[in-house]
Amino acid sequence: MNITFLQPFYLWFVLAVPLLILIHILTLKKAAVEAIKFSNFEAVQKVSRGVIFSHAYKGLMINKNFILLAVRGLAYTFLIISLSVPILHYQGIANKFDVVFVVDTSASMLADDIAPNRFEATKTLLSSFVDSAPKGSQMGIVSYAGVNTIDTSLTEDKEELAFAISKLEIKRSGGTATGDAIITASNLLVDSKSAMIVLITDGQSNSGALMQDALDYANSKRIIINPLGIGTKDGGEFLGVNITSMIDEKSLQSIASQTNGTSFMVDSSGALENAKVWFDTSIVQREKKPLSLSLSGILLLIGILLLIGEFILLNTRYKTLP
Amino acid sequence: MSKLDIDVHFAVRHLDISTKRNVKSSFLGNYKSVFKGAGLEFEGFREYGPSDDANMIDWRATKRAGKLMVKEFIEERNLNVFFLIDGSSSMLFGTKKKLKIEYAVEVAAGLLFATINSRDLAGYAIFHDDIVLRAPPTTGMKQFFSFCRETVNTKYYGGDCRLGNALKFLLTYLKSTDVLIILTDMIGVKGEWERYLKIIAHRMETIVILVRDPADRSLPESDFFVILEDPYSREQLVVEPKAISAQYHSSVMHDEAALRSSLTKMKVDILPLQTDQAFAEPIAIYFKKRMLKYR
Repeated sequence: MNITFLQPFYLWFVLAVPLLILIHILTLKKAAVEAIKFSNFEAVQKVSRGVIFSHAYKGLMINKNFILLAVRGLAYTFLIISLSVPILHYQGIANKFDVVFVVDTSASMLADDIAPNRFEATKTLLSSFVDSAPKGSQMGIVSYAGVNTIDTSLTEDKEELAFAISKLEIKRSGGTATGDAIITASNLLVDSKSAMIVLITDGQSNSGALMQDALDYANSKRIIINPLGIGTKDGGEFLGVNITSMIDEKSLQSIASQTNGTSFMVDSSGALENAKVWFDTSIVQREKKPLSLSLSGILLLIGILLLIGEFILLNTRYKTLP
Repeated sequence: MSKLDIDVHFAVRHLDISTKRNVKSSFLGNYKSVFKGAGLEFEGFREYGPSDDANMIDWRATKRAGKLMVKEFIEERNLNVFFLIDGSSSMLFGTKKKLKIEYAVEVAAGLLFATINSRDLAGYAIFHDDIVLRAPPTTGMKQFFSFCRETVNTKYYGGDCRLGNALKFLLTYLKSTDVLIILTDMIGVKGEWERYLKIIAHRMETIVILVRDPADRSLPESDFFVILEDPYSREQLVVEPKAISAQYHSSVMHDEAALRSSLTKMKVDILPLQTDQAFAEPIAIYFKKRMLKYR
């Protein structure tokens, strides 16, 4: 386990904290403490001995001063370190494979044979795939119809992936250029040691690069393709138009076998749950991998909590009048 | 703050109203009867006659002589009253509407007016480390107006309470004074004040009007720590009022009782006043008691 800093320059500001503490100590005795002039002071002094006795520069005041100083110093330290974006590198359990989801967003995906429609069912399935993946798994999303879009590059950030999934929409460009999408996804995985594509589609490629060329390209990068077909053989309706599923199960199996992958068919609403199982068993392979975690957010939160704690102490336990 | 907040008219008017309620006569017209040496000069004793007021019988003289004896007084003379006001730092304190010094000056103004209004002599002085302002006893309203004009100036206030120095000075300054009224809080008094007070009390009638703020007797309630500062030494103390409130009150009342006892032994009268209470009523009641005592 080790820590690296993306913005190490900011760490120099941490040196200001001990300097501030030193200045505070040096000026502590000389600083005039605001106090209430009290005429019968000697009477108070007489009864204070042995009960609560503390000179303004000793005892309670010093305890208060140093405790609050320590809390504030820690808060500043955490805030400064968070600015330097520390990254914690550690060994953790993650998916062996980096996965890019290639999602068919052509108009035929609006067919309602898989409730509520193929597209919405795909998005729900995709969300569950992302949620169930081990923390630290690298995943990306490419959506396509006639043209393809990189919705998100490889990332561990599940919130980013969830946001990208929520923004997926049916593309206006006609056609289904599956080959092009596979090539784009392969390029995203070019630096990955172990890579997979999960191809979610309801039909055959009918535009763009030839499927065989795309598969050869993927194989050259040693990328496994796992096709997931979605849609019933009877097809479904879209805007009153019956759309017959163009899924060719044999083609999907061929894609899988050529790339050492496995295929799965969601040919009914009931098969959606089985698809989750297929993902968890065939796509996710847990192993120990070097992972990284940004500590910036945690340190920022701790710094803010310490400042709030100091504020609370100043107004409760250590509140003094005046 | 360049001037004290003093309401002289209020002081004079309310003193008169209150004494009328308690003494059934105007204080301003009859205040002389409050002081034992006032108005009439004692000449000697004579045998009681059928026309004499039985209140005039002096029982000590009667016991000595073996027959009823009365005091004999001749002619009135002018009263000579001197007001000594404590202007030390502890008097510049107040948790209520008035600082102790403002309250004390209002009391002195009312009594000084009564004195001058009766064509008697009144003088005054302000002290802290030493006497910083003085005016010898004289008659006439000019003295009263000078008092009102000068005592509001804050330049005369602030410093240690060296009552001994002030009394030592007055021993030579005051030649024929009948009554010395000292307005002070008796807090932080330094020097040999007891010695000089004893001497002065022997020469003239001495009254200490003890002016205190409620906080001089009871700590204000607070849930928090409070940082207090000594107005003299600037020393600071952090206290938790609710932890020491009971002991503070007890200690202060004990010290006050000891002070009263000490002053009584010196034949000095003491009238305690508190700044959150109107002074006219306590003064009227006090003077009523004195009238009954000395007549």
